[in-house]
Amino acid sequence: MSTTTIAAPAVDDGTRAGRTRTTLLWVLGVTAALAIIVLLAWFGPSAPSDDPFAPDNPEDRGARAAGQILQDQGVQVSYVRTTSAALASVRAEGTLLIVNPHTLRPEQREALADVPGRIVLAGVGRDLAGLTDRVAFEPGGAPGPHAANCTDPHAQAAGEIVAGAPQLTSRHPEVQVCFGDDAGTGRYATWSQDGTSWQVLSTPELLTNRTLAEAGNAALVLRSLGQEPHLTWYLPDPADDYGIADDAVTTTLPLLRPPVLALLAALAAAVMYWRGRRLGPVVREPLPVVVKATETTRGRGRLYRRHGTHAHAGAALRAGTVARLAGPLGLTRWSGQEEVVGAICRATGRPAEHVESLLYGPPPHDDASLTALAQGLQTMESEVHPR
Amino acid sequence: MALTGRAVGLLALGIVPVLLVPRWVTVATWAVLWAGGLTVDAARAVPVRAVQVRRAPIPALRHGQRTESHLQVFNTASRVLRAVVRDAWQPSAGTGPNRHRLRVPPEELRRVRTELHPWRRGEIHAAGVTVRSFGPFGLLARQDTVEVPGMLRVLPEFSSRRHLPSRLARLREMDGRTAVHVRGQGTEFDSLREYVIGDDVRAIDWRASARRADVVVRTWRPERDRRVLIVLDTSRLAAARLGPAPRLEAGIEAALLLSALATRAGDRVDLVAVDRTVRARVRGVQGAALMSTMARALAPVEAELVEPDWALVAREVRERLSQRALVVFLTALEPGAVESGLISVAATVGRDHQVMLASAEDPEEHRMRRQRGSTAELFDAAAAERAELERAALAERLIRTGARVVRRGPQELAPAVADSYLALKAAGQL
Repeated sequence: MSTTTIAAPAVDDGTRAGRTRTTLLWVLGVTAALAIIVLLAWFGPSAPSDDPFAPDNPEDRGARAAGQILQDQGVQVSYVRTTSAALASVRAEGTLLIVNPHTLRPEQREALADVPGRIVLAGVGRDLAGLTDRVAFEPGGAPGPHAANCTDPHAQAAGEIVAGAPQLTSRHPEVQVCFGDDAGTGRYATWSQDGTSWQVLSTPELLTNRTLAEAGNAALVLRSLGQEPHLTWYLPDPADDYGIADDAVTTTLPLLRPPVLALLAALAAAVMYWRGRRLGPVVREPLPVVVKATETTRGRGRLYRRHGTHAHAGAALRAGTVARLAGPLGLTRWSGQEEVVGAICRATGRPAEHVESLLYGPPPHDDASLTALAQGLQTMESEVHPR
Repeated sequence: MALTGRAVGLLALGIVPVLLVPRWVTVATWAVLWAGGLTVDAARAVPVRAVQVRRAPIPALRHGQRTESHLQVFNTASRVLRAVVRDAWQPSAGTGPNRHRLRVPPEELRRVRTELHPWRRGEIHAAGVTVRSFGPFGLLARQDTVEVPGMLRVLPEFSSRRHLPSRLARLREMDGRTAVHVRGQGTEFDSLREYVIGDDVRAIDWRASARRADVVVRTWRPERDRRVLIVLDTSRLAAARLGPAPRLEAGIEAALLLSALATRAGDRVDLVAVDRTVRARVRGVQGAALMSTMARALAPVEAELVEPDWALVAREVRERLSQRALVVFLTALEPGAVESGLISVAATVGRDHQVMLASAEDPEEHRMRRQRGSTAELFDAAAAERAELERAALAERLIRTGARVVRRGPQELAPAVADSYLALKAAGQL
């Protein structure tokens, strides 16, 4: 720490005792906040959910109206999200409502098919295998209103309903289909099978707060669901792990819940801001220009090579050798060819023709002759002033 | 604004209630609590504008030395300032740890010290002081950067001063030798004194001896009060890198050594650094003040990628010098550039003055001449030989105009220039 106190001495809350107290306060404060939140969230008044078709959701796509009317009429409504909870909740004198049964996995559908009491399916999809094979999905359909067109007492009581796509169609002679336009397709089906009464609404939209008050929707829905003193309202949760006994999946699934994901996203953003915030701007360095000195020479060498000027390169090497030898041999810039050859012959003891062909012979014309010339010159030079 | 790791950790703790009760209300409550805590914390932090930062001036230093930057942080607020202060400099200032954690009580002052070890010559500027002021819980910080002007003048290293003692010894030797009565060029009349046995009889001043009863000899000393003008070329040739440093650095070293030597020898030294325009000028300074003036003038000089204007140099020389002087060109012998007018300027100046041309040569090119391993290297060697021949021819042309040419590697240039100066002085050619 490179700071120096100039004026007053350190204040006492910078001491060890003060710091311990501060830390303790921190720990206590954070723990208390966490505990309060958990307790409030757990035991406090439950906030309205925002899941579509949930009996406690007051929004347009919720179904609190239907749920509350049924409760006012003395029906006990159990709202469940998992298959195991639904199975625990059903009873013989009760109704099981399954919203969007096609979103369930086959294991879940098979488990639910055998429950006692009444079964009401809200919504049909392409795949209902395991649950029932007596009705099937039929795409398209106008919102209506549609007249009952059948003898079922609930449908008769409703008179007309408003419901759009999809529709359902019968796959079994015992099934009675109502609110249809022509034979076979419709928006409500009912039959009895092995002592269990089945009712199928083509779409869960019928349950929602928005459409419940339209035409005879309310009558159909409330009559279908209110036959028994107990109603299990099962809204499947995609994260339900029923029938998948895999520990890894079980432990990771809670992390996939949207609230957890939202908190993690906020945390990621906070980390990015925390690490990304700079302590002041980046400082610019005005660097002076520096050029490598050999660049021009190397460029010249490349130029020689690209154009294959072996003769030119050879001449330069020869001239360089002569210039270097001139000093030790006592030659001047104006010395002639004979003088140079003579001086080198005397210094090295080589024959004059050899020296002359090396220094003043024909210019090299390819890589091999240039290499040979360079080697010859180097050898001769080393003979003149041996190292 | 800046978040702290503590704030992020606090947000992360929210995962506990959210995992226990995975509902939106949990997330929202935690977020509101967190944001509220941060807001309260930031509101309690000392605003940066309530912090006064002052900087102590830093004395100039030589390249290679270390220094320190001192900041005074004064808290004018009535709350305790908890802050991180960053004293930012250009990267070439070579700052040590420059982030300082501070706790300044109200109306108090703290000093912050940052080490600087500049790795470049020149004028290096401070970039500003960033203050990050934390709240009492250390969750959120206010942050701002205040401009606190500061400048660090890094003088040339002058590593060639290690050659100075030996050259000064040579200078004294010359002084002593000529103080015995060798008369001739390069010496001037000093005084008359009585003859002692051993003195050269040719030094006896008969006329003075006749006026007195004693035999009197004349003594001589080397010429003094000669003028030396150093012309430092800062054009594109000076930007060429020879080994680790550009050619300009070798020129500056040579200029400093020559100035140190010449001013001790009693000569007057002027300097002009020039490319298209005059970049630095030292004139009329003598004695001990010269070296510091010279270093100060040369500190901010950088090479520019422009052609040198030799006509301007000739004008400068004409304006500066009335009597005969030594004009030292610290430039480079490069065929292309020299054609642009150096030869004619050297010849013109050489008519009235002694010219010395010093060129720092590239040791890498000498290695290239020897490397003949592959065909590519052969062509490079040929190009290097050709360049060397052209330079030798140029040097020859310059010598024919009467100039002295000094060609050495960047390390050896300064002592060689000094030796050349001593040789000229000994020969009385100044």
